[in-house]
Amino acid sequence: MPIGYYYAIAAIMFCTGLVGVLLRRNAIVLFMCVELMLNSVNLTLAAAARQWGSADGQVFVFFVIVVAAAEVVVGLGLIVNIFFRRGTLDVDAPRLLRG
Amino acid sequence: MTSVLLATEASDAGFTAVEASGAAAVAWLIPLLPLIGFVILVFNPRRVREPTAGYVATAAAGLSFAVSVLVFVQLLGQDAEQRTIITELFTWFDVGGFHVDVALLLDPLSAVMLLVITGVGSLIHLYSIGYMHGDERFTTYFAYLNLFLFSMLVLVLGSDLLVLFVGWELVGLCSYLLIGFWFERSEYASAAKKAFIVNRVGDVSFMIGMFLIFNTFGTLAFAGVLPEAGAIAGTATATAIGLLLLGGATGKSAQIPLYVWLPDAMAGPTPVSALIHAATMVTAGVYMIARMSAIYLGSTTALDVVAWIGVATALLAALIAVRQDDIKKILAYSTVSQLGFMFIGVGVGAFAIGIFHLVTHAFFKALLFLAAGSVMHALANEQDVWRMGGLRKHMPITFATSAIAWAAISGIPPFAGFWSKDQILTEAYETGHEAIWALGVAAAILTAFYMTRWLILVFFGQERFGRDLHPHESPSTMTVPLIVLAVLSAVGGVALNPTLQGPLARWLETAVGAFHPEEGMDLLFGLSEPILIALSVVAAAIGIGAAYLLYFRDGPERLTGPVARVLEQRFYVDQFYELIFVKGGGLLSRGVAFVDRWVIDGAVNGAATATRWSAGVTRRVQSGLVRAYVGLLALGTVAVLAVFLVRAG
Repeated sequence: MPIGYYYAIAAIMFCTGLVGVLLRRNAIVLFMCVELMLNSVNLTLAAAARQWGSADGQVFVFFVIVVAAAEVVVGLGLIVNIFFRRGTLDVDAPRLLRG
Repeated sequence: MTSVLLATEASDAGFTAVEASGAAAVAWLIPLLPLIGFVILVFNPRRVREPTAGYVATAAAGLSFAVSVLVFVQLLGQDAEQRTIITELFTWFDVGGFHVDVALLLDPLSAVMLLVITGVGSLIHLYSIGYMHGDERFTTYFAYLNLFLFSMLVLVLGSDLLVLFVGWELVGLCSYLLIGFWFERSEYASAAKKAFIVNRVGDVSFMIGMFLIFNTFGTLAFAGVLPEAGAIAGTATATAIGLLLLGGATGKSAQIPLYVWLPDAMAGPTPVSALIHAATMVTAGVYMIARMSAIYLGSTTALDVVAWIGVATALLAALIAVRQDDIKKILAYSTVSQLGFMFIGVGVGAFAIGIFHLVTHAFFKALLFLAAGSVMHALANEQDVWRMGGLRKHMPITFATSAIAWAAISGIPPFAGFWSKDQILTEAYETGHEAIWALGVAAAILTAFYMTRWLILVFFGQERFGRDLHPHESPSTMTVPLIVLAVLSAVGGVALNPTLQGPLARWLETAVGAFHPEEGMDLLFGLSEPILIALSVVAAAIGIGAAYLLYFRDGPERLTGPVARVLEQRFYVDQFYELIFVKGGGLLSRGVAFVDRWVIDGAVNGAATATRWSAGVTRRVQSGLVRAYVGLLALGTVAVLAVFLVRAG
């Protein structure tokens, strides 16, 4: 299978995730979209590693997965906390950092 | 002229210091005693009250006088070359190449000054006990008086120009405190400020002179500077130093152009006027020039400027004194005028004679001021001489002592002022300053005139004071100093220095350089000394006679006419200064304040405003909406990628 297909799928996944982040208001969905974007990058990295016969990309994938896992831990903690305090998961509701 | 100066022996003989022993070893007591008095009084204004405070202060001054006498007697017993004693007390600072010792300098000049300051000062202290009776801040007054004495003693005793300068500034501070002693009245407070500020102007010049001395000699100690002064004789540096120091002296000694503070300085209590005018502050300038005589002898230009400033001041102030109506203001302008005479003395190179006049003037001017105080005391603080008169009968002691002081200042032989003033004029003539001599004689005529007028208006004629006033003689604490000073004014001149080479002049020789007018100088008119003396007496007689005719024979009447008007307004000098310096200075400051407020502050505030405004605009970006941030992030990423793609393509 040509390498371009992998890239195309990765691009579609990334754009889907980006659009989701931009348009959806539910914090959990937002998170899932972010995961989608991260995975699209992982896919690109793995495909590229395969293409050039180098393990660097695959190593990066593991890093990304680890970081993403850590991010999810922190992010879910925040989301739970916000939900307890505000009773909603709408990310537009808390605007404490407005200038 | 130069040959005259070469004929003088600069004072380099003076600084072979000898070990202090006897009274000189405890000379540090002289300034210390008034300082102790000051400390006791100023920290206990509630506990030490009238009259104890007065006795404490007077005792401090009197003991200081006693030590001064002992020191003087000791110096008198030593050989002329051994009469300079420098006692190091402690090192003030030693930084880089700059070393300043606080050391006492005892020599013939400082000994004379010590006796005048502590002697006349003690009498003024004693007198103040009576005069300040009943004043709320009696103790504070005496504390200041002691501090004044201390400051002046530091000035005179300092063996280093910097220590002298410390005393110089301290007397300035004390004059401020005492002139403004009754600061409740705003014009008194502003008189104090005027004295302080005018003196500051002179001090700037004095300090620059000190810098120049340090730059030239590498030290400010008299022992380092004066013996080396010959090395710069005749150079522009000597002239510059002389003129800059003169600038300081014109401030302290109230000479043109900085004399304006002294007549206002009589706002303070009258004994303070006596202290400032006779024994302390104003004599500092004359003392300093005499002390720096070695430098001045190296510059005929600087000396001539000193003499000309002296004669101009003597004449101008005497003219103003003719038409003043305030009993103390007449005396104040008289002081300015007499200081002018001293400047003539030191300016023609006769330093010892200048100091001689300083001493006799201290006697009779202190007496005149204290007598004026006695009169004011009797007349419920009346100061207008036109509301006095006929006091001769009511106050016999005050009158008799005033008459002696009048005779002394008018130049009637054998009273003190005659000898000193005559010798100054004679020296001026014999050193070839004929013009200065002639103007000096004119000033002497005026002196006799205005002092006679003063005496007549206060003590003779009809009683012009209010009917409800019953003038009486002052208490003995006041009359005793008057009598002592009257004796000194009567015999001081003939006892101290009856000829140009009299005891005082010879005594001062080692400190200020002997002065020998050149033999066979070709002088205008070619007058001999007896003729000069006779002319001096005639001058006094003319002045007295004119005043007698104008104010006594036909009853006193104010002079009128345009000339009298100008004199009464003091040649509009104060108004001129007011216009140029006060108004001009105010205008300048307002201009500067405007620039500060609108340009400097404007720039600073403008920067702040611009920042705040731009913040107001950009803060909208911080919406707090996560999705907005993400959107912007995405847009930015796209933009960056676009740039890369375009450049790569």
